[in-house]
Amino acid sequence: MRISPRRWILGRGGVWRSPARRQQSLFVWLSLIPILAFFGFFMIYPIFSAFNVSLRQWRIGKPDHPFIGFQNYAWAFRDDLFWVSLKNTLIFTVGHMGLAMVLGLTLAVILFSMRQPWRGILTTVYFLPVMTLMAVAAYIFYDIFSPVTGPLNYLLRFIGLGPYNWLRSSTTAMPSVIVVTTWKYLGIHVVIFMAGLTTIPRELLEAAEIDGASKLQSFFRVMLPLLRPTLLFDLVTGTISCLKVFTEAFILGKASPGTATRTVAIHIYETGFISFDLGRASAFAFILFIIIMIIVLVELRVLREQFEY
Amino acid sequence: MHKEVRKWMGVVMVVALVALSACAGPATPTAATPTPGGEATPVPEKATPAPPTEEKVSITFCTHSYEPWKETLLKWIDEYTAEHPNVEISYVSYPMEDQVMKLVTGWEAGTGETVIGIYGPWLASMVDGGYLDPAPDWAVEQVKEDYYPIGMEGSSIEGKLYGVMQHMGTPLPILSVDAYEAAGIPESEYPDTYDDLLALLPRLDKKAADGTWEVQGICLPTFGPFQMIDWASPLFSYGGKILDDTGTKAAFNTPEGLEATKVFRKLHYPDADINMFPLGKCGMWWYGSWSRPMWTGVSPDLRVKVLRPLAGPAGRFHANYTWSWVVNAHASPAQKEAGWDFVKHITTKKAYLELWNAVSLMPARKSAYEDPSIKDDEFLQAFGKSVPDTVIYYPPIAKWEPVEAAITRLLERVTAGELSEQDFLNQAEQEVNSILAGE
Repeated sequence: MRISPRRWILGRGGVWRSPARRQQSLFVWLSLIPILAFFGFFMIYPIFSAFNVSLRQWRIGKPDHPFIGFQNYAWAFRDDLFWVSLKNTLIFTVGHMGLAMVLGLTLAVILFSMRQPWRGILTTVYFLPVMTLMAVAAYIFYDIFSPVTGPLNYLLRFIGLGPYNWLRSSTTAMPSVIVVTTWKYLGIHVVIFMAGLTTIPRELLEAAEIDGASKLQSFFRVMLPLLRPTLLFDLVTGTISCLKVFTEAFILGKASPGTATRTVAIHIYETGFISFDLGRASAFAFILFIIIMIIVLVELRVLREQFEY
Repeated sequence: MHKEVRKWMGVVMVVALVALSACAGPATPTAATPTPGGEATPVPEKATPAPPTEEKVSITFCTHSYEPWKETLLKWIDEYTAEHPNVEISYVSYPMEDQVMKLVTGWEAGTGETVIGIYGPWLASMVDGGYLDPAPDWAVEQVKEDYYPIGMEGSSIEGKLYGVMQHMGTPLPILSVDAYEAAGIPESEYPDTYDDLLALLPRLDKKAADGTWEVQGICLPTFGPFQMIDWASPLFSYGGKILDDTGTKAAFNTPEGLEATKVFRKLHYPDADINMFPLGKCGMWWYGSWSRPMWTGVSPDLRVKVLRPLAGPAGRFHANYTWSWVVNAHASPAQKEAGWDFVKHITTKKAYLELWNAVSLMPARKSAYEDPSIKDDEFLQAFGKSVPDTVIYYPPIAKWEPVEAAITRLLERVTAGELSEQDFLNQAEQEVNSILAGE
């Protein structure tokens, strides 16, 4: 039987595809158009638009926006405040992720070894701060950290310590922000790690126990290697969030001196809405985007290799 | 076909996105742009008064506020709309920290509010951006006749009035009589100069055995916008200036600036807590009359005395600021007319007295101080008498906000003991000059 070439086409992999199959593909693509259009208009278009703004001298209140190429990007290298902000952001990221992952994993292992209903109750307790608004939490901690009237210093005095000016010192301001953020988001890390722990086959842990491994040895030699995909997921998603930190640094930073808690996101905000320079603010935003991309790619590259076994 | 469809869809999408982005023009309404509640109208080069009209007009009214200030504002709206049924007024409020950003982005998008209460330091940049309508003649006459000189100065740019004063901040030294009495300091020794105050602080400061504060001699905020005000006050009183006369260069890195900064640092305890004053555990703070509700709610029996601005070698000049009612330049003529008419309604002597009663904001009109209801209010009268000893601290330049932000950032480090006074002056001068040079 002669096959008309107009009715059948050679698809991928050298497979002849039927007209029905073609129609099916077309239907799928047409169905995707609305969501692609939505995604394109509300996510991709603003990115292109912001890039356009970043290539122009764009000041709020000035009608002319001349094209200036990459001058706004070049400015970032001369802007001391941008580098200070970047340094603070990286310190925050390393500090928070280090603390949150260690604490989160420890808590997850402990909770995972518990029986219901305590496992569920305590997991819920640790997750409660996640459900609060960060702005509200930041304002509450603002008062908690107060050197004279704050309850934290009041408690420390009972054990002969303090009072400390937690937010008023450049040394302790950023660690205070890290503590608040860790308190708020610890629950998410716990839940992620607990989900990862459920994927570890019990038999492996039992086998390790039979072979005489201690709890710690089981943890480091069996659990941790098998948790690497979960660790990678937690690290990548957490890093992306940390590099964009704004709310807690902004609110708690009101009491901290100078640029102690100034992050890149705050710098972008102030450049755009205090200095009214949207061109530079957009450029800083793209630079942050590139930095996030590089860091995440490095994390994926380094850590993914380690769990391909 | 499948591959081709994908390829062409991708090409079409990218081309469309690039084309859309490249066509993105200025959002500033330069062409006919509809404003909320009004008809689309070209932006006029010069504001001209529109003839009276009975057409339905909708305007928005915006200022930062808090209870019970908001109740007073809503009452004014009800009163005005009862007298002018064709005018619909909707009220919007933003926290002060967010206000300038919300206003400016709204104006850029063509959706800005009609009548707005704005902070004085923002005025120059908003006029520069073309956002504000010049005040009509009645407003100019009213301000000239019945307002303190800062009423004109605080709402004008290059001699042109753009608003009518909402209130004066007028921070002054407010002394706690109770704290001074407890420290054995009689009224005859109340400070009159910065040196007097610095000499009295050790007698007022009191700490418990464990090092916690029981009484702070003075509690000035260690961060935020008042850093600038609290630095500018001794700066001016020591003969210093913030910017030169052209407004293009920093002028504070001088011997006078150094002395003033030293005074500033000594008056700012790194662990100062402004909550101490309402609790009766602080000798003094520097705030305006609007701060009264902050302690009357906590310590209603706290006795205070408002002092004149402290004197320095060059005189007595406490930094002051104003808030002004302004009207959106991009509103329609009908909206502008209604807006300015509403401003007239809310800047009567009666309105200022209502604001005083609601939230202790100083009346902007001089004649209000003669009103029998407040004539014997010593607290308010002390503020009124001291206004001539105050000066607007911010020069009328469009780049003032980033300049103030830069100086404030560094002042916070001085207060925290992380930056010496001379290093502050050097760094601040460098940053300010860089901002003013447009870098």
